[in-house]
Amino acid sequence: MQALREVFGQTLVELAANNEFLVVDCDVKGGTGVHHFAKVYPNRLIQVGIAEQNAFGVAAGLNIATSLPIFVTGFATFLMRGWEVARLSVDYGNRNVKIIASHGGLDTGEDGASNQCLEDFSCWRTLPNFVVISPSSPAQMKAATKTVLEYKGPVYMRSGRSPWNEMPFEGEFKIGKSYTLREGNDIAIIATGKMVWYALKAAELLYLSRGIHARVIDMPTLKPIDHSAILSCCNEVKFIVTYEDHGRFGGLNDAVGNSVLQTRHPIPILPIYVEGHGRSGDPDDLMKVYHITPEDVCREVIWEWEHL
Amino acid sequence: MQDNRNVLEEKARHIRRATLLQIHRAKSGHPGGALSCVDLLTFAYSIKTPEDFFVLSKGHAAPALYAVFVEYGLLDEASLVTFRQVNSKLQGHPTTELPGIVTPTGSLGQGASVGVGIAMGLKYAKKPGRVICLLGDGELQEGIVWEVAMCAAHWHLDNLLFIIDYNGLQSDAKVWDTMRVQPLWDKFKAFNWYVKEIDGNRMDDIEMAFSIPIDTLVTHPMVILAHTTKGKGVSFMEGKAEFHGSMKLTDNQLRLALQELS
Repeated sequence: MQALREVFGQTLVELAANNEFLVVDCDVKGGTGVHHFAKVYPNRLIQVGIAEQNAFGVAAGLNIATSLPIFVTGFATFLMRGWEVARLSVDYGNRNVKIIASHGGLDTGEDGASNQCLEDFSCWRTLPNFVVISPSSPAQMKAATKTVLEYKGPVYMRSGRSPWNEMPFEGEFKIGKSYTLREGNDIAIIATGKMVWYALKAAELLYLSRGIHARVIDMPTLKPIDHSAILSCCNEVKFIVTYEDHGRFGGLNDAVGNSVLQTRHPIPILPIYVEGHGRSGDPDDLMKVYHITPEDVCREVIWEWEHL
Repeated sequence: MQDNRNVLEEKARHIRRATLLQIHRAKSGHPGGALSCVDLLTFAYSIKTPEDFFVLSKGHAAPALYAVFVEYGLLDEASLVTFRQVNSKLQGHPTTELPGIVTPTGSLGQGASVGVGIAMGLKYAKKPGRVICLLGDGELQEGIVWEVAMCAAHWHLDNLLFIIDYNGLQSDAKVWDTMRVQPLWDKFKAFNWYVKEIDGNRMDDIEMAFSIPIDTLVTHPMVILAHTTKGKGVSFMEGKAEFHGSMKLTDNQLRLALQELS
């Protein structure tokens, strides 16, 4: 098990040997994993302090002056404070600035509601040029970091605070591509980020308890979303479950729903998300309290299945 | 020096005329704040080298900047009639669609932030060149400006110059009555900047402020607090908040203004 933020920081160190880029951090190099990078390449870390609005202007300016890719790192919630700066100074000019945000979702844990970001997928999807990614495992994070560095344009990518289970991931990470981790033609569970591992657990439970065959799709890129994978679901399964560590509006369920409604045969969506604001607690306990455990998913799916 | 000053003052007059013509034709724009900074813009572009960067952080003064571009051969005069028209490169606030514009502005405070980033990037890449940002005084109410001020001093950006178009007015009223930003000298000094205070509508004052050799700055960023008159050059607009914008100029207002500027 490894925290994706640590994987990110370590990957930056590896990539830095052969790639020139700069990192703008908002006083959280310990929290975002870039402390690894700062140790080895101190002159390539631009510290702007607790000033997320300025961080985006600075990133844009650095890109203008040097033409280098620029990473902005911080906590997901507080980076949203700079959204309006990113909207004009980064997105409008399609600047090569990549935001890598730790502390997304209830996964943030004990720091509580002020720090648990439940709106970031929504917030960054809205900007026309931003690519939005949430990797599901340490191995996928490593591959995604390399792809994001090579991609020319604005990106928002969640990392993760707590250690997550490893899942196998090989080869290149492709923006816009989903990964079918389990086959099945009764329903599809489309999950992103931390919830992918739990989606596999839910699929197991569904099969063991009711013989329901659930397809599990890891959808790390929320934008541009893998429309063809969703189209296949519409043609092949009875309904889609979306599963995300994010609030109700604007995240995976809306992205998938948007895609489903563009097909000729739209099917129902059962969205699993975090209702309302977060609260302090151990991440596993929070999943229980907010009813987003695999058991909760299983229960809700069975209800829908029996009422088809 | 004096000859040069006459030339610059003549340029400034042309630029004021062209600014008002654009706003009148487009039936919208911000005349007051565009006119107040014309002298500063005219001088800045007369000394700007290809290695320097200029950012109009008070983006609503765009028509003045476009007129400056024409005056300095960076834009063809015929384009000016397209100001604010659909599909024109001369948008209401500057965008990077227009060659010579470094970053899109129009959201106050952002130009300053991008400016500090460019200055840092030039230092990192060991490139020469200065970054000059023009800000409004109302703009200093945006918190990001003070994030920028801290950052510039912390990183010793002596290649960064801010000019504050200190006309004392913002969109509805005086800055003093809306949200006091004064005392500005004290604030910038406290933030560790090198501060100069001048009359921003006098070419000789402006020239003197710019002539401080860079190596005397001793690793501080510099700010010129340029006292100006909003609507400068047109008697019925001078000192009036109602000419802030975005507003239509009547035919009569244009005629009277051009008379004064001839």
